[in-house]
Amino acid sequence: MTEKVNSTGAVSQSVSGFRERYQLYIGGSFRDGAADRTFPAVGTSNETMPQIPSATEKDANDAVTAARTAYVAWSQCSGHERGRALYRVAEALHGHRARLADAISRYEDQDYGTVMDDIEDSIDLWIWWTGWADKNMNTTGSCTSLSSSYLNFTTRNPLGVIAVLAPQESSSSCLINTLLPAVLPGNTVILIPPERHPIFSLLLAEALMVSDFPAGAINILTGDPTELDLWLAAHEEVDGIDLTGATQTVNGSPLWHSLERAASSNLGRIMRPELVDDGSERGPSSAEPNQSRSHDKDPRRIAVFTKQKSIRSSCGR
Amino acid sequence: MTFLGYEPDVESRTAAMLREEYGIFIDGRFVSGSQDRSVTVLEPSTSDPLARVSVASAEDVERAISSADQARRTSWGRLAGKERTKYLLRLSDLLQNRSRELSALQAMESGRPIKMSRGTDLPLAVASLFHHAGWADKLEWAGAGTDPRPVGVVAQFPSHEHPVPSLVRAVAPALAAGNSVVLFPGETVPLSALVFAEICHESGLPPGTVNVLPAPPELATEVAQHPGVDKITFTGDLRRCRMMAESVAGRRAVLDLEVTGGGTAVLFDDAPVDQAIEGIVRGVFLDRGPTTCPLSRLLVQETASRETIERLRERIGRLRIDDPLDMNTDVGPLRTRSLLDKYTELVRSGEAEGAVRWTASGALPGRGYWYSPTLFTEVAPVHRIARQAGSLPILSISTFRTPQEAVDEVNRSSHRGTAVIWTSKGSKALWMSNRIQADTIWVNSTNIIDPAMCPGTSVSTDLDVPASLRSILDYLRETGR
Repeated sequence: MTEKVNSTGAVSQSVSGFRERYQLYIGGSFRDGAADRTFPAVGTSNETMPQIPSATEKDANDAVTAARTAYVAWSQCSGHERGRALYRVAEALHGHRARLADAISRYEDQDYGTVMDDIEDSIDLWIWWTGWADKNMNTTGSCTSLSSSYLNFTTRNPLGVIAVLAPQESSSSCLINTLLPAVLPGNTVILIPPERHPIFSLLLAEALMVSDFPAGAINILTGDPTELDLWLAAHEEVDGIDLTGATQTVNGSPLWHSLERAASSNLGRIMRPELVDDGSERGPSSAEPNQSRSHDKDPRRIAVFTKQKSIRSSCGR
Repeated sequence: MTFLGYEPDVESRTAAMLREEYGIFIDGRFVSGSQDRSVTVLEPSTSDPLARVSVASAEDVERAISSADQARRTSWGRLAGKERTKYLLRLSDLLQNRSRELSALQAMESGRPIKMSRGTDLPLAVASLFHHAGWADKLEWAGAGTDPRPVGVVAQFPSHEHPVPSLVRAVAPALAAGNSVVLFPGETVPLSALVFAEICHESGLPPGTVNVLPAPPELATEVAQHPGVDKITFTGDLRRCRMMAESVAGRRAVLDLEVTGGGTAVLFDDAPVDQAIEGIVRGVFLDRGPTTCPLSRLLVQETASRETIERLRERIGRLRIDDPLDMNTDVGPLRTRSLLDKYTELVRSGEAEGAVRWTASGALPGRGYWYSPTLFTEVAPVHRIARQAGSLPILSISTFRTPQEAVDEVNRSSHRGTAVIWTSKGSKALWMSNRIQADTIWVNSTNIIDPAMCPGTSVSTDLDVPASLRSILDYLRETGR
């Protein structure tokens, strides 16, 4: 396999989608981690595993800055414009589907045809979410008249910069079901791909780039989740964190526990992993999280990383 | 009495039906608390003792939570919705019947003038119970699926600023949804909460449905970590909210936070001046209760600043600072000694940092925690008075030239709870509303509250819900999905 680095820093390759080395995607361009460290990906196949960049605090910080900068324009876009931009990504994914399927099937040691079916479903799912970009406001806004001559109308607005810890499943649909509802209402995102299944995200970065998706609106970082996620959770410029993927156990307790504690310093919005419903009438306990939430496309997730703004106006003459 | 002034119109102190001692309310009974500890509640307007109140210990909290759990499993949580509706309507009626007593009591313990207590707070609390009574029998239409369940045991720490409406607006939706409540009133304002407990008792609510525990603030973190608590609602400043968030991290409980802070008003040169002056004075000095982020800053367009400042001084100079029980009183004392100390210190820092102070003249009544309404002009964004006034009635005024400048200035402030826009040009108001980052934006009005309106600022650790249904959906758990 031959590799060369093109002018934007993206590694391009010939023939197959499978690579020896991947890069971080920050602010719309590809780069190695600041410390230039990589680690071999943990996959299920016997093939030589590619090198995955290990992001440092500096990279996390750069990604947050890039997301913050991109937020101004992305959040001011109309829902229609955001929908268009996301749709172009779906088109790019479609164009790359053979390479995607090739890389994933070799990496995950799965049948090419099955993987291809999954990818086509994922692209459909991406398009399904895309359509929500200009409908979210219609279904969640409200207008109420109040006692005496006042009018209250409530809109839902993006929060800002969101860290999305994608579910640890191999399925690209699960990832799309967490990434899209965060980004489509106008938030900018730092995506942490699933530790054992990063290939889809790393190739998604290329689709973002070639489809001219606004630089910095989605940034993709790989690395040691116990460090990377903690930096992001506690970062003052991070306005929310989706902990769906933080289900690993670290030092005997679930990772999301320590991340939620870290996030108490910036009081960002938190989405906990969905917890196993143990059948008790009190609802789920905090002990065992599972991932079921991300298997379904649930538009209520859009509301998680938006906040309401109520505008209360007097109606005098 | 000055020329064209008003005679005092003082509510009788006996209206408050004050007792010397108050117990804590656990499992449907008033008890004295396991450790027999009590605190003296002071009256802010005189700093004299009002009453002794038992203080809950960790052991009492334990009992209250298990009693609430019992109610959840066996009585309140099992009731049909239409029965809960009847209870809530009865609560609403009983509260109405005792509103004279409660408005006097609230005025005495919190220092909030009775004009507000009686005129807006109690009617709002009564209306809020009525509003949520109407939800209890139609929860399947609230938007949490066809078979919504209560969250369970809810621990509530409402705002201390105007105790009665705050606690009712917390308790009412929780009860309507079928939750049982452990209520922790502010340690300086527990009396009206305990009278509310009496009302719950009188209404025949099943024991444990509502528990009321005056408790030291340290207990909050213990409550947060209690495995029997399913949800916590907490109102407090940034520091205390962070502490709560940290204690709840990784626990089963879901946390809803309301962060208190200061709001900003923006006044354009085309604003309806009379209403604007009234609205700003009301937001800063007269009626600080209804929002967790009362006004403390004014950005005024440069071309209008001279007139605005003059008129504000003139209006503030006419505010009547007197006994909170007097119907003609505009401004009462601050709630506690420590708030007054903070206030004094902050006013000093404003002068030291170079802002120009103006304080209303006139003697202050009595030995309580009184303050003279003060405004600062030529305030720079970096001054502490501009950043830290938060829940204190200090008005700092700065100027701006263009709307964009005003937007940037509002959005730069660390706290983005409320903003107020004064302009008579509708398109400008909407342009501003679109760009200002705040949870609640009032246009040409301040502090308009309606029971059907959802509370504003909130940080939650769970799925957020559509705005118009906020308060009820916050207390429901969706099942079967």
